[in-house]
Amino acid sequence: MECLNTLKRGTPLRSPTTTPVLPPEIWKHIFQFVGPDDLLSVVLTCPEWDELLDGTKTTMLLPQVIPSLMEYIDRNTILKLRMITNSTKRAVDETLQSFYDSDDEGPSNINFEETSSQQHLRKVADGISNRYSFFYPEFGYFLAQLFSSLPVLSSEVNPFLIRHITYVNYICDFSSRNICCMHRSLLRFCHHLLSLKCTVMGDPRILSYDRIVDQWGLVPNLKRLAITYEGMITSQTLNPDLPQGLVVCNFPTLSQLVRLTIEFRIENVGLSKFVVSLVRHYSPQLTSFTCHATLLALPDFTVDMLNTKFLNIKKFHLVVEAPEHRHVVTALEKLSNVSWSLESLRIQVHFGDDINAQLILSTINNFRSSLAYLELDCNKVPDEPNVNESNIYEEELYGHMSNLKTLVTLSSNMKLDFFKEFLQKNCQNLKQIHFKTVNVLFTQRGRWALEHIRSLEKVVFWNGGVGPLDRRSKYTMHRVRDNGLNG
Amino acid sequence: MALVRVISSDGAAFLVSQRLAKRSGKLKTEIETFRKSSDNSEAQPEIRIVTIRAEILRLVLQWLQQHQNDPVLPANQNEQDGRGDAEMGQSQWDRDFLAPMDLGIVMELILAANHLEVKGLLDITCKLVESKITGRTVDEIRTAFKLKSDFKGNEEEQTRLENRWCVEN
Repeated sequence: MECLNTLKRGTPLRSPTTTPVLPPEIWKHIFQFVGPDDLLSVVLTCPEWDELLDGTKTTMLLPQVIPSLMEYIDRNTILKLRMITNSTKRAVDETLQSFYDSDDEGPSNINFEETSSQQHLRKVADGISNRYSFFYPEFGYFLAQLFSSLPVLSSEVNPFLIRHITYVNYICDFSSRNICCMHRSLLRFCHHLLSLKCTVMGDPRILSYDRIVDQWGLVPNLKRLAITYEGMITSQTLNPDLPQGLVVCNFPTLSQLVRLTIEFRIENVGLSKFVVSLVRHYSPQLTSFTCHATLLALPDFTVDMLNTKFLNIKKFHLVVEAPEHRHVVTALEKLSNVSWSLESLRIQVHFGDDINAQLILSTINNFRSSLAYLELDCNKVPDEPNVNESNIYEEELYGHMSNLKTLVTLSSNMKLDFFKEFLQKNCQNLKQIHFKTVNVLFTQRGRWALEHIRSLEKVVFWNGGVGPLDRRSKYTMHRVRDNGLNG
Repeated sequence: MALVRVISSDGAAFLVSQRLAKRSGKLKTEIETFRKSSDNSEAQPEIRIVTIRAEILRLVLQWLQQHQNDPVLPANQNEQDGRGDAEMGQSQWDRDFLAPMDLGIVMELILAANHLEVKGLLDITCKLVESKITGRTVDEIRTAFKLKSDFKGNEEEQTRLENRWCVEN
């Protein structure tokens, strides 16, 4: 009676907490109806069920361990895993794709935190993505074969292991049959692609720009577009001081596009017009933009235009490839006056040593409150006397950057007083510094940085600044407790 | 000695030293999070690992204990440092440790080592499974892992074509 009284209305009724006992055969029968994802939970529930399902455990686990496993096996074996079952195939493809895409998540194309085994996987992913290129004469034939082997209406099947393709506007080596098949295949499968590298070839005066942009319309889900130019430099010299104006091009709507990379110097009449029009068209939707100093220096890009067009820009990467001091100065002057809230800034100088420190500092300073990642890949940033001479400049140019967490630069910059001052005054929230070069003074420099920047957790020196990352060694210095240093 | 209670998915609790637990990246983070959120600095942290069952958790902790005096292998260890994967290789103890396990247990250990961020254990278990795959034919792999082909129609042929295009020569 008492028991009944204590059971109030609305109290949920629970089964006894002990496991209900059913004969193993019945459990086995029940498990046949459980989906593969839940089946693993069954295995994890109790040892008896694990034993009961022993026959199917490896079957269920293989697709799940594939992402870890792929870092330890070679490319051809990875491909072989795609042949086992649909779920292993899916596991391989998803791992490769997310790995390839993660390249773009980071602010830099180098992910400094990668382990050596992840670097291996990156090499595999890059190697496979390189195969999806119209530079291979047989690529059209491959697409045609694929096209004929797939039944009609199977366009939801994605034939690209990595959703990236390199397209060449000007193909002369294909037989007409292949071109035809290629276009049919592209029409059917290109909605699977997220990333496109468009290589423009030919004489820029007579190029059909409309035909180039028409191809982009076949790739409606494009997120990342890179454009290179491989062709002649015309005798018609471009006057970089004059606005290039616009060409009328029917740019397709690419609603997913967020990243644009212009991989060449602006030195061609015609092509420059096209690029200016292209950048103007897509700039409002971009979060990430890479270009050469020659492009940003064009009078078409006024500070006003940069402010009103690039509404969502978060990452900017400026490349300097040739001795073009004048363009660099113009480009940096514009950058130091735009009202963007950049989170990531990379300035990469492949040539020349004539960028003045003051200009660099005022550019960085312009993004002082928002910048989280800064890469100064400049060979030499000379210590301009006027930085130290004038106190007014000093006050204006140095200031705390509260969000800056990662700095990547060359260790030779540590020779410069202004750079040390910059580290001390601006970088007091910095977590890590990566030096792309190692020299004999590196421990001394690392120690200096750890002593002068209280927030700093580690300093990493990358050996052999020019080689591919996977063949480089690195040396890391960590802060141990409060003041101790450890190599 | 500061201790931590690590609880498996099926409710078994393991009491281990925090020093040992912190050799797992995941447990280290969990202990630190607990420290920050707890007012009492003497309180013993309790961490529930919902994806790992007792038998596997015990093996991971056993491996950690055996290797507790090894140099810490950070997740971003580079092979060229000289202390890289190759040299860390398998000790006789590791070989004896893995020997009685069937493939299913080793695969569960991979998932556990990955989840708990134990690089050294991930290395030896992955290499063991790798040896069952590299150099074998597709059918041999299917037999080893008790898998059946579920490709329909020309899916297999399509995969073969895709692979042939991507293969490294």
